[in-house]
Amino acid sequence: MSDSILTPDTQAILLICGSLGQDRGAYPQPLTSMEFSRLAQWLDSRCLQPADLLNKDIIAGLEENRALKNDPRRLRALLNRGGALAINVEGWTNKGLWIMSRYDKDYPYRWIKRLGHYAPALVYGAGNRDLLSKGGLAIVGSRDVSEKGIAVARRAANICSNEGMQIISGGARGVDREAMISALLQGGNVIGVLADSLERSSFSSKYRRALRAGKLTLVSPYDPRASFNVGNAMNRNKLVYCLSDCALVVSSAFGKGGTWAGATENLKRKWVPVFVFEGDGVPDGNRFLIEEGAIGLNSAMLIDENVFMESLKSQCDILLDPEIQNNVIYSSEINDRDQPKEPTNEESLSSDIVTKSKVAFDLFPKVWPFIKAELQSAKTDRELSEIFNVQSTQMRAWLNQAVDCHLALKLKRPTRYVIQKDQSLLKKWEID
Amino acid sequence: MKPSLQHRARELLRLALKNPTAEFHDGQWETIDKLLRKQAKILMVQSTGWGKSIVYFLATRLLREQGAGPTLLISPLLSLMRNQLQAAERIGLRASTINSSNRDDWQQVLDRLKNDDVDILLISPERLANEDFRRTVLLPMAGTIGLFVVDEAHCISDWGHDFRPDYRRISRILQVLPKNIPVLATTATANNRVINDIVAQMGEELCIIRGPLSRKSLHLQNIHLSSQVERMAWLAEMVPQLPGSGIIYTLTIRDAKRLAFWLKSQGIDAHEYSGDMESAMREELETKLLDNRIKVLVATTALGMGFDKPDLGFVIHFQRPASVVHYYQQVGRAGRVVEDAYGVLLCGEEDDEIIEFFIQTAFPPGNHVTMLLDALETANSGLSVPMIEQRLNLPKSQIEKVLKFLSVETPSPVTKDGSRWYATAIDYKMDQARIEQLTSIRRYEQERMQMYMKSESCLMAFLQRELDDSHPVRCGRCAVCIGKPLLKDAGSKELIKNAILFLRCSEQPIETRRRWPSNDAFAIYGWNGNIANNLRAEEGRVLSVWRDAGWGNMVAEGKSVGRFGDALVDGVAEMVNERWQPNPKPTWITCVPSLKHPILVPEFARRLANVLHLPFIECITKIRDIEPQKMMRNSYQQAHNLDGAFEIDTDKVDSNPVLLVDDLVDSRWTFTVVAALLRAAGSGPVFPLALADTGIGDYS
Repeated sequence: MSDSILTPDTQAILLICGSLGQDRGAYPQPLTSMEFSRLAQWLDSRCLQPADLLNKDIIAGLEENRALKNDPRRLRALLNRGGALAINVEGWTNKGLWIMSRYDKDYPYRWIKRLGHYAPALVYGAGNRDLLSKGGLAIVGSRDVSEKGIAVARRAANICSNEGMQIISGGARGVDREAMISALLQGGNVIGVLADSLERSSFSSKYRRALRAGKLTLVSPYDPRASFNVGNAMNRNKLVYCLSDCALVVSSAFGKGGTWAGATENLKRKWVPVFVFEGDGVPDGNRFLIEEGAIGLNSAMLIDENVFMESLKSQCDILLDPEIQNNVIYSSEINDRDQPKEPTNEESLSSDIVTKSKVAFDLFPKVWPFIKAELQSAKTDRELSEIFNVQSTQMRAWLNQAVDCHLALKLKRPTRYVIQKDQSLLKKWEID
Repeated sequence: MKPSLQHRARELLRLALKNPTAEFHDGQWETIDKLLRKQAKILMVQSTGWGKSIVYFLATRLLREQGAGPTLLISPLLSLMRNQLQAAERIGLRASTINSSNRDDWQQVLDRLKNDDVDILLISPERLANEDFRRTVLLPMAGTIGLFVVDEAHCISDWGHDFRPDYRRISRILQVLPKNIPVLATTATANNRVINDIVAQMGEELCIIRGPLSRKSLHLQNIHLSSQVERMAWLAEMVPQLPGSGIIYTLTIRDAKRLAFWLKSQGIDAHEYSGDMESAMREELETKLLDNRIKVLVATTALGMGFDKPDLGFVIHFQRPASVVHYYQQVGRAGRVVEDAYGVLLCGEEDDEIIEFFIQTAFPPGNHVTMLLDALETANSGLSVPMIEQRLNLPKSQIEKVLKFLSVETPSPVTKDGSRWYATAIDYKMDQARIEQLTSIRRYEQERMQMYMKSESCLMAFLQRELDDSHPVRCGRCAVCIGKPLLKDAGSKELIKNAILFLRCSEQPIETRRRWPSNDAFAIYGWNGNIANNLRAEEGRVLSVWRDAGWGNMVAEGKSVGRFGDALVDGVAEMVNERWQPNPKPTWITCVPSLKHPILVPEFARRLANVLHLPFIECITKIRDIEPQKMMRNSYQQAHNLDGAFEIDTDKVDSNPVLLVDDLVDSRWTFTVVAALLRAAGSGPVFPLALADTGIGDYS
């Protein structure tokens, strides 16, 4: 009768990172994402998993490690919160909410890739988890928005839904909600990254049906009962960008507000290409964002669906294909300073990648854009291994992986490889 | 480390029991050790009085000495039994209770919890279902819980005899507890099926510790006396002859009340006990029984959980319980410390009907669930229970039952926020297969109970086998082993007559309604809010319960042949003149009309008027046919159904007090409406009078 609701790893992570209904600032303070990353690296270095933290002997070992700086009493106190965890988790699952940690296979790879140590250790959610790996267009904007802005948000959302592209937003009043609801009405998939009240939103009449139908996923890094808090709202903006493939800012104030902060951060860190609506009567922030490097999007580009989609596609990076993610576990991905182990010989390296087991660091996502560029026209593996100056066994291994992931096609007589055309790739975003 | 822990534990045991040479029973120390060293999850199946609470008291004390947080004890008890509290106190444990009966103390307890001044916190399972309670009381302290204890753990299993919905959520909480928190689940009654089910729910690592269940000095006997009055007579005669103080179990609250009243009228120091009563009253009665200051408590199953009286002299069942396990749980309380104790099962004719009712109403019907979910789905801002009553023709109790049933499913299709219920995003389908399976188990258990009643081999061994006791032994003390009745098995004719007379004099009041239902139930008559003083009915009387052995059978017969017998007329007249004596005295009689049976009631009322020497004036007409009131399932619907149904001929109305007669009463809305119309038309005070009460009544 009992499916395991939580994996032992997630259970342990929830104990040490979750608020579990505690007041802010109350002792013991849960770990931040960064603190958790450090702890995870320590575990990794000893071939341990978070679940092992429930073992008394492991804690003793941890306390001896001064480099960790965690107050050992704090960690113990956090790990003793089993009663609070059980009562909270039972309450959430009773309402249909789920909890994921960075260790869960459904955890959005895009967050790990882009945020590293700042990827939330825990995610609470409702609805279909599969949507989280499918990317999409983030539509963001201010709470107070003009009629024109609303129309833009709705139009963009509708086009994407028709074309099978997901919409991602923050669930706030204004642009966020207009985009989300519009997309849902159009039959598209939507992801909402909420800063507060996940629980209440999960049974609200505007989202219920879509959640049931698997067309909507609501997530939050904050406790499902958390109330609104400006800091949290600001923080969650980056999560919206980082879950998407590109973003559209409909309206932004200049120099202040969550939309401005999120957009400028995205431009600075170059997470995803960002479009900003331009034209008569747009708020000042829009104009400045375009000057800072955002791409202008005017009304004309919204008239024809194909024009709009082409604009998006030309900028969107399809590097983060969902198939690739499964090969990588979170921990060592994050810290680029950790060198991947030097291969003792080509065979062992290629077999590591091909077998898709727990690999320390998978180079494939790094090299794929270069390979892809060359595969615009069909080439043999020998040609490619010369171009890239790698052993042909290595080249073949990468090419096979690309084929497995439906990124490339293998042609016969002679055996050549060529890229999958964009159209059919985009179809991956379509709803079943 | 290990020897000194056991040493310390024994030291504490001797302190707690005030016995310097006490030793652990088999299994007690092992349990404590596993809980402490291995954070084990344990299910302990031991009979009442073996010492389950000592185990968790000692475990708590030892854990606290190691710096752990308090123990959370989930139990249906209102509070720890007095002897338990004393034992706890002797080893310095501070226990606190939070449940619905001591709200005034909550703040104090919360403060004590904050200061870490509580070692054991006792809460009832229903509390866990309450969102507010979880957040404000439980979660703040849950982060430090050092040990979970679940009492009456057999309630977790739906296969068990006493399944309680709230326990489903408890079992899920236990399932998600991390492995570093120990759990102790205890019960005195569980057979293999129940144990296996609990293991399935709580996980394979659940460790089971089990002991034998027999009762050395318990003498069992079954007596077949089909009619209630025969059983009432038997009890009146035999109870005074039984040793010590004891318990009589009934299936319904109504029976408990009536039986207690009957026994009192026969000079026996008896009192009713049911879940309906205030908890202060219940505690007082329990204490009286423990101190042998009362002869017998006439109780529903509400007197069960945890109640422990080592010198209980007898346990008598007025009606057959639903299952053998149930029976054992109740009768097994007797025969511990005393030499001779009696367990008697009286089987009656109404048992099957009552049990069948329980079986059929155990789960809400599929269409009720659908109706409720549809109503919630269309409500954007949720619905409170009164709002649901308005939309659905279901009794309030049934609506609450469906909501409870759905809310303990996980994931649940309903959720409560504030005072309103909402549909969640869960796509829900009732698990009909499970329900059918559980229903057939209940029928099977009923059959086993019937087998017990007819058993021609040792009764105690039968019970032991049903509980999967590993060594059932012929007791040599029961009526079957001995070969003849221990107690006489028939009621005296004299007492049977008295019992009938008693029932014939056990009319009940019909209480006045004071408020119209909300939301324009009476749009035509234009009534809303409180019922004005000058429109209210007076307190009335209902003569009998439909089909009971007093008058009820005669009422049923009369209704089916179309004429009520003269004996009924005389009985009512006597009730009015000798016992009720309504004041101010009515000077005329009228009745509630019916379009379907236009003669039945008026004809009776006319004869009654004759005997009472009062004029009979027909002044009320039914102007439209309505759905039968019994089809209307909740207050709102019942009232609304009557809107505009009656008209008064004002000219005929007398301005003096009047007796308003009807054959049956159920929701009282008919009386309320007609009385208001009469008053509005100028009559004096209106006294409702009905022949029988139709309701199934409140079972347990």
